[in-house]
Amino acid sequence: MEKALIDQVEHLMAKAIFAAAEFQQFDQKSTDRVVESVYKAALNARIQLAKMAAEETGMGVWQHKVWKNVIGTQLVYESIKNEKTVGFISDNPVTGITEIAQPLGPVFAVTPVTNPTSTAIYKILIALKTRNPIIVSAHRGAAKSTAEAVRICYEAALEAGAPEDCVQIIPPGSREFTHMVMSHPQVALILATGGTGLVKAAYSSGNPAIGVGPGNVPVFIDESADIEFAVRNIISSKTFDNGTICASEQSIVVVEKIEALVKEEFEKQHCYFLTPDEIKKVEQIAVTDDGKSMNPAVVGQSVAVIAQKAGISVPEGTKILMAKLNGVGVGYPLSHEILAPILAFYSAKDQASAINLCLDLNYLGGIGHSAGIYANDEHVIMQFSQLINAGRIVVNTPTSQGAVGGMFNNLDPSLTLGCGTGGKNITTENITARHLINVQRVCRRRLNHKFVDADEATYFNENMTETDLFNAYHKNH
Amino acid sequence: MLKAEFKEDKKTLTLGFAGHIDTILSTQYEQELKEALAKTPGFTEDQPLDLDLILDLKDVTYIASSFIRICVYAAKQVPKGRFTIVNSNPMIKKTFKIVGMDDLLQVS
Repeated sequence: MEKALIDQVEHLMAKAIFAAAEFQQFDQKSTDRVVESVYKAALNARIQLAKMAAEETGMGVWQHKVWKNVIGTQLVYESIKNEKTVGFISDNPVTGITEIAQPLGPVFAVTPVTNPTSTAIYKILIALKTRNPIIVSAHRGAAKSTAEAVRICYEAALEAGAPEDCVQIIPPGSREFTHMVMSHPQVALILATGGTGLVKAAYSSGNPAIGVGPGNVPVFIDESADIEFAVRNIISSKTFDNGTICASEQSIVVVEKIEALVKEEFEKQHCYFLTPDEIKKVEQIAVTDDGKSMNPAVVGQSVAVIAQKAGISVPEGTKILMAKLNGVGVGYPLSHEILAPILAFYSAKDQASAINLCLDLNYLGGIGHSAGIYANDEHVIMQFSQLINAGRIVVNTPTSQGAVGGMFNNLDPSLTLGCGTGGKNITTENITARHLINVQRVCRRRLNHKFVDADEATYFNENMTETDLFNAYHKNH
Repeated sequence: MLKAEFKEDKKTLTLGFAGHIDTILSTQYEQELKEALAKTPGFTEDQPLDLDLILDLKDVTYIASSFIRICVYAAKQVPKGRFTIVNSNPMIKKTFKIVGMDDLLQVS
């Protein structure tokens, strides 16, 4: 391995560990001062960074990227600003347990091309809030805008007295460099937001990692739903930043009984149902040759661009391309996740078949991520929610904004959505500051009298069965 | 303000630090440390000083990472094993521990 590269990685890590050592001396007040300073600077830069990201990546809509930056700064800040993340964070005199928050150490944060600046800012905020230095690795397609977000945050942190090198960024484009940092013994945690390959590399690095799984979000519109409302919300979500959020709707499932009504509503709200021939043409440009993976060339593109690439003509002002499909998986490329304004549409004979279809879609590469349901029948909401394998089941809510949290519900605002073991992740939660601390528990003596009072001889008597031991344990209690 | 005490008979130079050593104070101390070393009898640019160098952190409540770098620089000015840091409070001791320098700098 090239010595210069090793030296570069070692230098980066030495700076990070020095910053970690200094940072652990901060109290809550000094920590919060740093976080507030970064939040203000990043929020002030929301428009400039959004424009840079949209221009550099050629994806999405800059106005929507402004909103994403607002989510990553203002909503994240508001949700964490009063959290105790330093020193004593809880004390329970009854249990005798006192909890102490300790920082983890250097956090290595990988950020995606789809939400570059917002993810970088959000990760910096939660890392600094927990006194962890952070090293950001930008997607090569968003290197400049991510670097600018990092620069703005770092300068604001320093102004508020943060340790030198508490925020660093690695040079763009070197996969080897990224992997060397990932597996460096002094990295405390990897926060991996990106594709499956990246997340797998993070989990295989030997360091603790919090990753995200891929999505393939099914949305069930039940017959009890307010159809106009459901369609309006779905459109606002699927068109948000041209569908780049991994929690955006991928398939709409309805029962036959309301199919015509839903279809009519989508058309009324400027969505276009593709003909079978047009579906074939869109498939060819939206999915790569393996028929399973989205083509990066359509990610975050507008309907107009996608239609042009596919060689089809759609009415001006079309918001989403709708593809009525009869199956899931092999032979149906548009049933896979595509982060663009293309939606698969399914009709099922009844509620049970509709939920079954949602399960098929859910298990087609999106286990543990997110799902949506529009219904006014609590029974069907709970039935759907118990069966679907998703970290977030958002109800009567646009899935993009709903899963990200903080706008339509009380989920933690986050740009890294845990997908549980189904997505090969450790948690289904929205990742936030509380995931970046080691909680130490001071355990004061509180005797378990059931155990202490039980007759010791009983346990050493081979004739005693588990029933005898049960009785011995609970006797007189 | 750095307190420097040179004991010729015991061949020791003790440098006393105090306060919340942030990046600004650390820069000031760096200058003062270099001046104190330069004033020490026997100092040359290219040879280690033949003495025990002791950094006394008795009244230090916080150290910036730049101060750790100064300690590493200071340790290089005397032969191996003749540099020590004394009277560090547990928080400061832990700071050196995290960067893995507590053995090298003989922090107590």
